Amino acid sequence: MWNEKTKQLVADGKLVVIGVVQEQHAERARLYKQWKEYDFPIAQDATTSLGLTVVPVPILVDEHGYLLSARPRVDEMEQLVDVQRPVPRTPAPRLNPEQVTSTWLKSNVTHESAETKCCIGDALLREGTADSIKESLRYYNASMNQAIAEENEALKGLAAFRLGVAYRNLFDLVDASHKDPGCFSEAVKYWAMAIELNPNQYIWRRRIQQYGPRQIKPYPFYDWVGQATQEIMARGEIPVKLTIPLSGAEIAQPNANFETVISAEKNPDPDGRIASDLDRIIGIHVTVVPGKIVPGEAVRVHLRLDAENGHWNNEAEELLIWIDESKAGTRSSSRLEFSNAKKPSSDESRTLEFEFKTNDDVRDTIHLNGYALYNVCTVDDGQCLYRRQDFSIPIEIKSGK
Amino acid sequence: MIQFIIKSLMISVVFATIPPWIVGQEMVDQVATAINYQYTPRQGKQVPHFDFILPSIDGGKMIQLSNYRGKKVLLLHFASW
Repeated sequence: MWNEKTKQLVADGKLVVIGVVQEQHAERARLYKQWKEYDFPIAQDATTSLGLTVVPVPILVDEHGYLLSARPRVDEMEQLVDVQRPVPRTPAPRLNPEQVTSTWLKSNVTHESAETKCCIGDALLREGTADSIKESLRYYNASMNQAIAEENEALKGLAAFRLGVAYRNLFDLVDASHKDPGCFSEAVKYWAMAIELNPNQYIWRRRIQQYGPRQIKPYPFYDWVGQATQEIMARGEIPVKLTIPLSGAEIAQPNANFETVISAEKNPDPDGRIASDLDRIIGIHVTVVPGKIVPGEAVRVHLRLDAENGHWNNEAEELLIWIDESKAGTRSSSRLEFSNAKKPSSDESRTLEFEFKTNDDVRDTIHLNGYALYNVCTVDDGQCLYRRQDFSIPIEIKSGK
Repeated sequence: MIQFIIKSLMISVVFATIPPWIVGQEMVDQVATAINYQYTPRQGKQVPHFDFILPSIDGGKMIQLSNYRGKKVLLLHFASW
Protein backbone atom coordinates (compact mmCIF):
# COMPACT_ATOMS: atom_id res chain seq x y z
CA MET A 1 0.00 0.00 0.00
CA TRP A 2 2.71 2.48 1.01
CA ASN A 3 4.76 1.63 -2.05
CA GLU A 4 1.89 2.49 -4.42
CA LYS A 5 0.80 5.59 -2.54
CA THR A 6 4.26 7.10 -2.32
CA LYS A 7 5.50 6.27 -5.83
CA GLN A 8 4.54 9.67 -7.23
CA LEU A 9 6.12 11.55 -4.32
CA VAL A 10 9.33 9.59 -4.86
CA ALA A 11 9.19 10.22 -8.62
CA ASP A 12 8.73 13.94 -7.94
CA GLY A 13 11.86 13.94 -5.80
CA LYS A 14 9.95 14.92 -2.66
CA LEU A 15 10.48 11.71 -0.75
CA VAL A 16 12.85 8.80 -0.28
CA VAL A 17 11.49 5.48 0.99
CA ILE A 18 13.64 3.07 2.99
CA GLY A 19 12.28 -0.24 4.24
CA VAL A 20 13.47 -1.75 7.51
CA VAL A 21 12.50 -5.39 7.75
CA GLN A 22 12.27 -7.32 10.99
CA GLU A 23 13.50 -10.58 9.55
CA GLN A 24 16.18 -13.04 10.51
CA HIS A 25 16.58 -14.53 7.03
CA ALA A 26 17.53 -11.81 4.55
CA GLU A 27 16.85 -14.06 1.56
CA ARG A 28 13.19 -14.32 2.53
CA ALA A 29 12.94 -10.55 2.60
CA ARG A 30 14.67 -10.44 -0.80
CA LEU A 31 12.07 -12.81 -2.23
CA TYR A 32 9.29 -10.72 -0.70
CA LYS A 33 10.80 -7.56 -2.19
CA GLN A 34 11.07 -9.21 -5.61
CA TRP A 35 7.49 -10.47 -5.42
CA LYS A 36 6.05 -7.10 -4.39
CA GLU A 37 8.36 -5.31 -6.86
CA TYR A 38 9.54 -2.89 -4.21
CA ASP A 39 12.01 -0.50 -5.75
CA PHE A 40 13.29 1.08 -2.54
CA PRO A 41 16.28 -0.10 -0.49
CA ILE A 42 15.50 -2.39 2.44
CA ALA A 43 17.63 -2.71 5.56
CA GLN A 44 17.58 -5.78 7.78
CA ASP A 45 17.13 -5.43 11.53
CA ALA A 46 17.50 -9.05 12.64
CA THR A 47 17.86 -8.30 16.34
CA THR A 48 15.27 -5.54 16.81
CA SER A 49 18.23 -3.24 17.40
CA LEU A 50 16.15 -0.15 16.60
CA GLY A 51 13.94 -1.10 19.48
CA LEU A 52 10.66 -1.60 17.65
CA THR A 53 8.17 -3.82 19.39
CA VAL A 54 5.54 -3.95 16.65
CA VAL A 55 5.28 -3.79 12.88
CA PRO A 56 4.25 -2.27 10.55
CA VAL A 57 5.31 1.21 11.64
CA PRO A 58 5.93 4.08 9.22
CA ILE A 59 8.17 6.92 10.41
CA LEU A 60 8.73 10.13 8.51
CA VAL A 61 12.06 11.94 8.92
CA ASP A 62 12.61 15.47 7.64
CA GLU A 63 15.46 16.66 5.45
CA HIS A 64 17.51 17.66 8.51
CA GLY A 65 17.35 14.19 10.06
CA TYR A 66 14.69 15.10 12.58
CA LEU A 67 11.56 13.11 13.20
CA LEU A 68 8.63 14.67 11.39
CA SER A 69 5.94 12.12 12.12
CA ALA A 70 6.18 8.92 14.09
CA ARG A 71 3.16 7.37 12.48
CA PRO A 72 1.96 9.28 9.44
CA ARG A 73 -1.18 8.24 7.65
CA VAL A 74 -1.02 7.51 3.94
CA ASP A 75 -3.56 10.24 3.19
CA GLU A 76 -1.52 12.94 4.91
CA MET A 77 1.78 12.18 3.17
CA GLU A 78 1.31 14.73 0.38
CA GLN A 79 0.80 17.44 2.96
CA LEU A 80 3.67 16.26 5.18
CA VAL A 81 6.29 16.18 2.43
CA ASP A 82 5.60 19.87 1.75
CA VAL A 83 6.21 20.89 5.37
CA GLN A 84 9.14 23.32 5.48
CA ARG A 85 11.21 23.40 8.62
CA PRO A 86 14.05 25.75 9.50
CA VAL A 87 17.57 24.39 9.74
CA PRO A 88 17.88 23.15 13.35
CA ARG A 89 20.39 24.78 15.67
CA THR A 90 21.69 21.36 16.63
CA PRO A 91 22.50 19.21 13.60
CA ALA A 92 21.20 15.68 13.77
CA PRO A 93 23.93 13.14 14.53
CA ARG A 94 25.61 11.28 11.76
CA LEU A 95 27.20 7.91 12.43
CA ASN A 96 30.58 7.05 11.08
CA PRO A 97 30.19 3.65 9.36
CA GLU A 98 33.38 2.48 10.99
CA GLN A 99 31.77 2.92 14.41
CA VAL A 100 29.35 0.08 13.90
CA THR A 101 32.01 -2.48 13.05
CA SER A 102 33.08 -4.97 15.70
CA THR A 103 36.75 -4.07 15.17
CA TRP A 104 36.19 -0.41 15.95
CA LEU A 105 33.81 -1.06 18.80
CA LYS A 106 36.06 -3.60 20.49
CA SER A 107 39.06 -1.32 20.38
CA ASN A 108 37.34 1.96 21.20
CA VAL A 109 34.50 1.21 23.56
CA THR A 110 34.98 0.27 27.16
CA HIS A 111 32.94 -2.86 27.75
CA GLU A 112 31.28 -1.55 30.82
CA SER A 113 27.60 -1.61 30.05
CA ALA A 114 25.21 -4.36 29.06
CA GLU A 115 24.10 -2.21 26.09
CA THR A 116 27.64 -1.86 24.82
CA LYS A 117 28.12 -5.60 24.92
CA CYS A 118 24.92 -6.06 22.92
CA CYS A 119 26.20 -3.44 20.47
CA ILE A 120 29.39 -5.39 19.86
CA GLY A 121 27.41 -8.63 19.67
CA ASP A 122 25.18 -7.11 16.96
CA ALA A 123 28.20 -6.00 14.95
CA LEU A 124 29.69 -9.49 15.16
CA LEU A 125 26.39 -11.11 14.24
CA ARG A 126 26.14 -8.93 11.15
CA GLU A 127 29.51 -10.23 9.98
CA GLY A 128 27.78 -13.60 9.62
CA THR A 129 30.70 -16.05 9.80
CA ALA A 130 30.59 -19.04 12.13
CA ASP A 131 33.39 -17.56 14.23
CA SER A 132 31.85 -14.10 14.46
CA ILE A 133 28.44 -15.52 15.41
CA LYS A 134 30.06 -17.62 18.13
CA GLU A 135 31.89 -14.56 19.39
CA SER A 136 28.60 -12.62 19.39
CA LEU A 137 27.23 -15.27 21.75
CA ARG A 138 29.99 -14.44 24.22
CA TYR A 139 29.12 -10.75 24.18
CA TYR A 140 25.39 -11.39 24.46
CA ASN A 141 25.98 -13.78 27.34
CA ALA A 142 28.16 -11.21 29.07
CA SER A 143 25.44 -8.63 28.51
CA MET A 144 22.86 -10.99 29.98
CA ASN A 145 25.02 -11.69 33.04
CA GLN A 146 25.51 -7.99 33.62
CA ALA A 147 21.80 -7.29 33.23
CA ILE A 148 21.08 -10.05 35.77
CA ALA A 149 23.62 -8.57 38.18
CA GLU A 150 22.05 -5.13 37.78
CA GLU A 151 18.54 -6.63 38.02
CA ASN A 152 17.67 -4.92 34.75
CA GLU A 153 14.89 -7.00 33.24
CA ALA A 154 14.63 -4.89 30.07
CA LEU A 155 18.27 -5.36 29.18
CA LYS A 156 18.09 -9.02 30.08
CA GLY A 157 15.27 -9.38 27.56
CA LEU A 158 17.27 -7.60 24.84
CA ALA A 159 20.22 -9.92 25.41
CA ALA A 160 18.01 -13.02 25.57
CA PHE A 161 16.31 -12.26 22.24
CA ARG A 162 19.67 -11.65 20.59
CA LEU A 163 21.03 -14.92 21.96
CA GLY A 164 18.06 -16.64 20.32
CA VAL A 165 18.79 -14.96 17.00
CA ALA A 166 22.49 -15.82 17.16
CA TYR A 167 21.82 -19.48 18.03
CA ARG A 168 19.32 -19.78 15.20
CA ASN A 169 21.89 -18.22 12.83
CA LEU A 170 24.36 -20.92 13.87
CA PHE A 171 21.72 -23.57 13.26
CA ASP A 172 21.11 -22.19 9.78
CA LEU A 173 24.75 -22.10 8.72
CA VAL A 174 25.05 -23.89 5.42
CA ASP A 175 28.68 -24.86 5.99
CA ALA A 176 28.49 -28.44 7.29
CA SER A 177 31.74 -28.12 9.26
CA HIS A 178 29.96 -25.76 11.65
CA LYS A 179 26.73 -27.71 11.80
CA ASP A 180 25.35 -27.67 15.31
CA PRO A 181 21.76 -28.91 15.36
CA GLY A 182 21.42 -28.32 19.11
CA CYS A 183 21.46 -24.58 18.48
CA PHE A 184 17.78 -24.48 17.49
CA SER A 185 16.74 -25.65 20.96
CA GLU A 186 18.99 -23.01 22.49
CA ALA A 187 17.36 -20.36 20.29
CA VAL A 188 13.89 -21.42 21.38
CA LYS A 189 14.96 -21.36 25.03
CA TYR A 190 16.26 -17.80 24.82
CA TRP A 191 13.32 -16.49 22.77
CA ALA A 192 10.98 -17.92 25.39
CA MET A 193 13.01 -16.20 28.10
CA ALA A 194 12.87 -12.91 26.21
CA ILE A 195 9.10 -12.94 25.81
CA GLU A 196 8.70 -13.94 29.44
CA LEU A 197 10.66 -10.81 30.38
CA ASN A 198 8.74 -8.57 28.00
CA PRO A 199 5.38 -10.09 27.13
CA ASN A 200 4.40 -7.00 25.13
CA GLN A 201 7.18 -7.44 22.59
CA TYR A 202 5.10 -8.48 19.61
CA ILE A 203 8.07 -9.14 17.34
CA TRP A 204 9.72 -11.47 19.85
CA ARG A 205 6.43 -13.30 20.46
CA ARG A 206 6.08 -13.97 16.75
CA ARG A 207 9.42 -15.78 16.73
CA ILE A 208 8.11 -18.55 18.99
CA GLN A 209 4.82 -18.70 17.10
CA GLN A 210 6.71 -19.00 13.82
CA TYR A 211 8.08 -22.38 14.84
CA GLY A 212 5.39 -23.40 17.31
CA PRO A 213 2.19 -25.48 17.14
CA ARG A 214 -0.75 -24.40 15.01
CA GLN A 215 -2.83 -23.59 18.08
CA ILE A 216 -0.69 -20.58 18.99
CA LYS A 217 -0.17 -19.24 15.48
CA PRO A 218 -1.97 -16.01 14.60
CA TYR A 219 -1.48 -16.66 10.87
CA PRO A 220 0.69 -18.79 8.58
CA PHE A 221 3.98 -16.93 8.46
CA TYR A 222 5.42 -17.81 5.08
CA ASP A 223 2.54 -19.31 3.13
CA TRP A 224 3.07 -16.49 0.62
CA VAL A 225 6.34 -18.03 -0.57
CA GLY A 226 4.70 -20.54 -2.92
CA GLN A 227 2.44 -17.94 -4.49
CA ALA A 228 5.29 -15.44 -4.74
CA THR A 229 7.53 -17.96 -6.48
CA GLN A 230 4.85 -18.83 -9.03
CA GLU A 231 3.99 -15.22 -9.77
CA ILE A 232 7.63 -14.22 -10.14
CA MET A 233 8.24 -17.08 -12.56
CA ALA A 234 5.10 -16.14 -14.50
CA ARG A 235 6.68 -12.72 -14.99
CA GLY A 236 9.64 -14.44 -16.58
CA GLU A 237 11.98 -13.76 -13.67
CA ILE A 238 14.03 -16.16 -11.58
CA PRO A 239 12.82 -16.06 -7.97
CA VAL A 240 15.30 -15.53 -5.16
CA LYS A 241 16.37 -19.00 -4.05
CA LEU A 242 15.81 -19.85 -0.39
CA THR A 243 18.87 -21.73 0.82
CA ILE A 244 17.40 -22.14 4.31
CA PRO A 245 14.27 -24.22 3.76
CA LEU A 246 10.99 -23.26 5.35
CA SER A 247 9.96 -25.54 8.17
CA GLY A 248 6.49 -27.08 8.16
CA ALA A 249 5.56 -24.84 11.09
CA GLU A 250 6.34 -21.74 9.05
CA ILE A 251 3.76 -22.51 6.37
CA ALA A 252 1.14 -24.34 8.44
CA GLN A 253 -2.28 -22.75 8.79
CA PRO A 254 -3.33 -21.77 12.30
CA ASN A 255 -5.84 -24.11 13.87
CA ALA A 256 -7.32 -23.62 17.31
CA ASN A 257 -8.56 -27.21 17.32
CA PHE A 258 -5.89 -29.83 17.66
CA GLU A 259 -6.13 -32.22 14.74
CA THR A 260 -4.82 -35.71 14.76
CA VAL A 261 -4.18 -38.03 11.82
CA ILE A 262 -3.35 -41.47 13.07
CA SER A 263 -2.16 -43.73 10.31
CA ALA A 264 -4.18 -46.78 9.52
CA GLU A 265 -0.90 -48.56 9.19
CA LYS A 266 0.32 -50.37 12.23
CA ASN A 267 3.58 -49.93 14.04
CA PRO A 268 6.09 -51.20 11.46
CA ASP A 269 8.53 -52.65 13.96
CA PRO A 270 6.69 -53.21 17.27
CA ASP A 271 9.18 -55.72 18.59
CA GLY A 272 12.34 -53.86 17.60
CA ARG A 273 13.53 -56.50 15.14
CA ILE A 274 15.27 -54.04 12.82
CA ALA A 275 18.94 -53.71 13.80
CA SER A 276 19.83 -50.55 15.71
CA ASP A 277 22.09 -47.88 14.27
CA LEU A 278 24.74 -48.39 16.94
CA ASP A 279 27.36 -46.43 14.98
CA ARG A 280 25.14 -43.36 14.81
CA ILE A 281 25.36 -43.14 11.04
CA ILE A 282 22.39 -40.85 11.35
CA GLY A 283 22.18 -38.19 14.07
CA ILE A 284 18.69 -37.35 15.33
CA HIS A 285 18.24 -33.88 16.84
CA VAL A 286 15.06 -32.70 18.47
CA THR A 287 13.71 -29.21 19.13
CA VAL A 288 10.44 -28.72 20.99
CA VAL A 289 8.59 -25.41 20.53
CA PRO A 290 7.73 -23.85 22.92
CA GLY A 291 10.37 -25.22 25.22
CA LYS A 292 7.96 -25.30 28.18
CA ILE A 293 4.18 -25.44 28.28
CA VAL A 294 1.41 -25.57 30.84
CA PRO A 295 -0.71 -28.75 31.07
CA GLY A 296 -3.24 -28.99 28.24
CA GLU A 297 -1.16 -27.02 25.74
CA ALA A 298 0.45 -28.33 22.56
CA VAL A 299 4.03 -28.31 21.30
CA ARG A 300 5.49 -28.67 17.85
CA VAL A 301 8.34 -31.14 17.64
CA HIS A 302 11.02 -30.52 15.03
CA LEU A 303 13.08 -33.61 14.20
CA ARG A 304 16.23 -33.13 12.21
CA LEU A 305 18.11 -36.14 10.92
CA ASP A 306 21.66 -35.60 9.70
CA ALA A 307 23.75 -38.09 7.75
CA GLU A 308 26.72 -37.77 10.09
CA ASN A 309 28.69 -40.91 9.31
CA GLY A 310 27.24 -42.08 6.03
CA HIS A 311 24.86 -41.24 3.20
CA TRP A 312 21.16 -41.66 2.66
CA ASN A 313 20.48 -44.59 0.36
CA ASN A 314 17.76 -43.28 -1.95
CA GLU A 315 17.35 -46.52 -3.87
CA ALA A 316 15.47 -48.22 -1.04
CA GLU A 317 12.48 -47.49 1.23
CA GLU A 318 11.93 -43.94 2.39
CA LEU A 319 12.84 -42.60 5.81
CA LEU A 320 10.04 -43.37 8.24
CA ILE A 321 9.38 -42.00 11.72
CA TRP A 322 7.02 -43.73 14.12
CA ILE A 323 5.67 -41.94 17.20
CA ASP A 324 4.37 -44.19 19.96
CA GLU A 325 1.02 -43.60 21.58
CA SER A 326 1.30 -41.75 24.91
CA LYS A 327 -0.90 -41.58 27.99
CA ALA A 328 0.26 -38.00 28.51
CA GLY A 329 -1.57 -36.63 25.48
CA THR A 330 -2.37 -36.89 21.79
CA ARG A 331 0.04 -36.86 18.83
CA SER A 332 -0.96 -35.17 15.58
CA SER A 333 0.51 -38.06 13.58
CA SER A 334 1.80 -41.50 14.37
CA ARG A 335 3.79 -41.94 11.19
CA LEU A 336 5.91 -39.45 9.23
CA GLU A 337 7.72 -40.10 5.97
CA PHE A 338 10.41 -38.23 4.07
CA SER A 339 10.66 -38.63 0.31
CA ASN A 340 14.00 -39.80 -1.03
CA ALA A 341 16.12 -37.41 -3.05
CA LYS A 342 16.13 -38.04 -6.78
CA LYS A 343 19.66 -39.42 -6.89
CA PRO A 344 21.14 -42.72 -5.68
CA SER A 345 22.59 -41.26 -2.48
CA SER A 346 22.61 -37.91 -0.71
CA ASP A 347 23.77 -36.20 2.49
CA GLU A 348 21.08 -33.60 3.17
CA SER A 349 19.58 -32.84 6.57
CA ARG A 350 16.04 -34.17 6.73
CA THR A 351 13.48 -32.43 8.88
CA LEU A 352 10.10 -33.73 9.94
CA GLU A 353 7.58 -32.20 12.31
CA PHE A 354 4.55 -33.19 14.30
CA GLU A 355 2.56 -31.78 17.19
CA PHE A 356 1.62 -33.17 20.57
CA LYS A 357 -1.16 -31.91 22.79
CA THR A 358 -0.73 -32.70 26.44
CA ASN A 359 -3.49 -33.77 28.81
CA ASP A 360 -4.65 -31.38 31.52
CA ASP A 361 -3.22 -33.52 34.29
CA VAL A 362 0.40 -33.86 33.13
CA ARG A 363 3.19 -32.82 35.49
CA ASP A 364 6.96 -32.20 35.37
CA THR A 365 8.61 -33.62 32.27
CA ILE A 366 6.93 -36.14 30.03
CA HIS A 367 8.66 -38.27 27.42
CA LEU A 368 7.40 -39.10 23.97
CA ASN A 369 8.95 -42.19 22.48
CA GLY A 370 9.42 -43.18 18.89
CA TYR A 371 11.93 -44.39 16.38
CA ALA A 372 13.26 -43.81 12.88
CA LEU A 373 13.75 -46.46 10.17
CA TYR A 374 16.11 -45.58 7.35
CA ASN A 375 18.37 -46.85 4.61
CA VAL A 376 21.96 -45.67 4.74
CA CYS A 377 25.33 -46.50 3.28
CA THR A 378 28.47 -46.22 5.39
CA VAL A 379 31.33 -43.92 4.47
CA ASP A 380 34.12 -46.42 5.18
CA ASP A 381 33.15 -49.42 3.10
CA GLY A 382 30.05 -48.22 1.27
CA GLN A 383 27.97 -50.97 2.85
CA CYS A 384 24.25 -50.22 2.63
CA LEU A 385 22.14 -50.97 5.67
CA TYR A 386 18.56 -50.72 6.92
CA ARG A 387 18.67 -49.37 10.43
CA ARG A 388 16.47 -48.30 13.35
CA GLN A 389 17.15 -45.59 15.88
CA ASP A 390 14.97 -45.05 18.93
CA PHE A 391 14.48 -41.64 20.51
CA SER A 392 12.79 -40.15 23.52
CA ILE A 393 11.55 -36.56 23.36
CA PRO A 394 11.33 -34.71 26.66
CA ILE A 395 8.51 -32.16 26.95
CA GLU A 396 8.83 -29.86 29.91
CA ILE A 397 5.68 -28.88 31.76
CA LYS A 398 5.38 -25.68 33.78
CA SER A 399 3.85 -26.10 37.18
CA GLY A 400 0.28 -24.78 37.54
CA LYS A 401 -2.03 -23.49 34.84
CA MET B 1 38.11 7.46 41.93
CA ILE B 2 40.07 9.18 39.15
CA GLN B 3 39.96 5.98 37.15
CA PHE B 4 36.19 5.81 37.64
CA ILE B 5 35.74 9.39 36.41
CA ILE B 6 37.95 8.78 33.37
CA LYS B 7 36.06 5.59 32.57
CA SER B 8 32.69 7.34 32.93
CA LEU B 9 33.86 10.14 30.67
CA MET B 10 35.07 7.64 28.10
CA ILE B 11 31.74 5.86 28.09
CA SER B 12 29.78 9.06 27.72
CA VAL B 13 32.04 10.32 24.95
CA VAL B 14 31.82 7.05 23.08
CA PHE B 15 28.07 6.92 23.42
CA ALA B 16 27.72 10.47 22.29
CA THR B 17 29.18 9.34 19.00
CA ILE B 18 27.73 5.87 18.68
CA PRO B 19 24.15 6.21 18.48
CA PRO B 20 22.82 2.71 17.77
CA TRP B 21 21.28 2.63 21.22
CA ILE B 22 20.89 6.24 22.10
CA VAL B 23 19.23 7.19 18.85
CA GLY B 24 17.49 3.85 18.80
CA GLN B 25 15.98 4.57 22.17
CA GLU B 26 14.68 7.90 20.98
CA MET B 27 13.00 6.11 18.13
CA VAL B 28 11.54 3.55 20.50
CA ASP B 29 10.10 6.28 22.66
CA GLN B 30 8.58 8.06 19.71
CA VAL B 31 7.12 4.92 18.25
CA ALA B 32 5.76 3.90 21.62
CA THR B 33 4.23 7.35 21.90
CA ALA B 34 2.74 7.00 18.47
CA ILE B 35 1.19 3.68 19.25
CA ASN B 36 -0.10 4.58 22.65
CA TYR B 37 -1.25 8.11 22.16
CA GLN B 38 -1.80 8.47 18.42
CA TYR B 39 0.96 11.05 18.23
CA THR B 40 0.53 13.71 15.60
CA PRO B 41 3.42 15.97 14.68
CA ARG B 42 3.16 19.57 15.82
CA GLN B 43 4.72 22.14 13.59
CA GLY B 44 7.62 24.00 15.10
CA LYS B 45 8.07 21.52 17.89
CA GLN B 46 11.60 20.25 18.37
CA VAL B 47 11.48 16.55 17.62
CA PRO B 48 14.12 13.89 18.12
CA HIS B 49 16.68 13.01 15.54
CA PHE B 50 18.43 9.77 14.84
CA ASP B 51 20.67 7.85 12.52
CA PHE B 52 21.22 4.15 11.92
CA ILE B 53 23.39 1.89 9.84
CA LEU B 54 22.00 -1.53 9.02
CA PRO B 55 22.88 -4.13 6.38
CA SER B 56 20.92 -4.15 3.15
CA ILE B 57 18.96 -7.34 2.53
CA ASP B 58 20.62 -7.41 -0.87
CA GLY B 59 23.94 -8.22 0.77
CA GLY B 60 27.25 -6.45 0.95
CA LYS B 61 26.40 -2.82 1.40
CA MET B 62 25.04 -1.00 4.44
CA ILE B 63 22.12 1.40 4.49
CA GLN B 64 22.64 4.58 6.49
CA LEU B 65 19.72 6.89 7.17
CA SER B 66 21.82 10.07 7.33
CA ASN B 67 23.03 9.50 3.76
CA TYR B 68 19.62 10.74 2.69
CA ARG B 69 19.83 14.11 4.47
CA GLY B 70 18.37 16.84 2.35
CA LYS B 71 15.29 14.77 1.50
CA LYS B 72 12.34 13.64 3.53
CA VAL B 73 12.63 9.95 4.28
CA LEU B 74 9.79 7.56 4.93
CA LEU B 75 11.01 4.62 6.99
CA LEU B 76 8.74 1.66 6.49
CA HIS B 77 9.25 -0.80 9.32
CA PHE B 78 7.65 -4.08 8.30
CA ALA B 79 8.04 -7.83 8.39
CA SER B 80 7.97 -10.41 5.63
CA TRP B 81 6.18 -12.95 7.83
